[in-house]
Amino acid sequence: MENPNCHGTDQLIEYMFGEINEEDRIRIEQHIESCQTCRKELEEMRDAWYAIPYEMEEIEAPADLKSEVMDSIFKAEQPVMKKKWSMNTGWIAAAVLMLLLVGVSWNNNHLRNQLGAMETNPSLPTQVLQIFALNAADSGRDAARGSAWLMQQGDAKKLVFSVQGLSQAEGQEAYQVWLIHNGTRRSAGVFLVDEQGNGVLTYDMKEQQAPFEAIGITLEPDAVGEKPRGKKVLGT
Amino acid sequence: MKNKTDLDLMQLVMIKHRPALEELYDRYVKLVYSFAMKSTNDEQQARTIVQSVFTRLWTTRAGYDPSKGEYINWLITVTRNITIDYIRKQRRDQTAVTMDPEIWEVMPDRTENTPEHIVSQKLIREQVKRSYQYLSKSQVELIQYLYWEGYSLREIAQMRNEPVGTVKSRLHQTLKILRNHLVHEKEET
Repeated sequence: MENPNCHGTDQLIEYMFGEINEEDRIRIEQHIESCQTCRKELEEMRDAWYAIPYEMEEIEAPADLKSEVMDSIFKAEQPVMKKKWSMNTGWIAAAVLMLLLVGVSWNNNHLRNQLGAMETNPSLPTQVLQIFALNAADSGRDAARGSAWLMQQGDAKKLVFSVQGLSQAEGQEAYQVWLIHNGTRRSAGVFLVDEQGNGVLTYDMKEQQAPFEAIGITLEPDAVGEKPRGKKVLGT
Repeated sequence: MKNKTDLDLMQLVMIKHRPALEELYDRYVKLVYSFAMKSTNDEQQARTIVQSVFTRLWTTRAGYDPSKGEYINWLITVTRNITIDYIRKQRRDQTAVTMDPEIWEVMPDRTENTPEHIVSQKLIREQVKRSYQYLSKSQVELIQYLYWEGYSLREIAQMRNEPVGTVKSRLHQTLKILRNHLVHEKEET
């Protein structure tokens, strides 16, 4: 505090705890910028302040607290999760119905008629624009196969995927769909399969999105990757 | 999840990855709960505070910025702000000034989750505990009111029927004693 312009420690403490008027706060802030002594003093007091909690005795939290906390957080979150995965029940129903159609030898006209009957908005018929067959990437596991339909309803385009014969993901693993354009891949979502190896996914195509010419499905170590890291299981 | 850093986990939490939040809970619930118990001395209130803290972690938009300091200190600051807000509401005291939540930014940056870091956390703990032996009863009481229970300097002065200046200089002495018993990493390097 040898500099005559320096504030007393009282003022630094008032500043540190915000118990100060705006005018003084600005004045002290400006002074601290240029005064190493006061800055050091303030930093030392803050270091001491932050050390205080290290004195506390740590005690175990009650065992039942975790489920209480998680339940309260994720109960509130559920609708958001649904939206994020774009798992709209109408579209799932559509995909499941189509899954049933895969097994039979169908023709395009038949499918178009079926899809026409499944419209979610009665005034807008759903149309199939393109169908992709997905085959096992590993020829030793040809039980795995699937299809993807690019569908249009009004101005909205959706991709609906259905797969069969995949093994169930373990732990954090998840299947992830990639749309491939000129060698770059973008994620179209993640899904899991049931005990029989069936999985479905719908993906909303945005107007401004680049087209794609191929589709790949990989088994990823978790559901949050932005680039493929796992093994490719299906592809066009 | 187990071998992810706190920063990794927070980034996963920001994109709503539930297992990451659960891992952070497992790592830090003891700290948060102990903090809340120290402040409230009441299990039910401590449980409510733990719930608020982890809900805040899940919903925070700003998140944790590693350039501003260690995760544990950020978490302690979040915990203290929530705890103090909670107990001030309990006291129905709306006049008190909330401590500036940005203050934690001044903490020096250290590498987290390394063995050195864990040793340094333990060292700080020992140092702080030792330094408490040098504090007088009124200094310990001041910390209890100011740090743990969130009373302002003015409120403490009123409660003790002392001039605010006396409380400030007592705080200054107290922080100095604590500070002098911390081996500062900044000075070691």
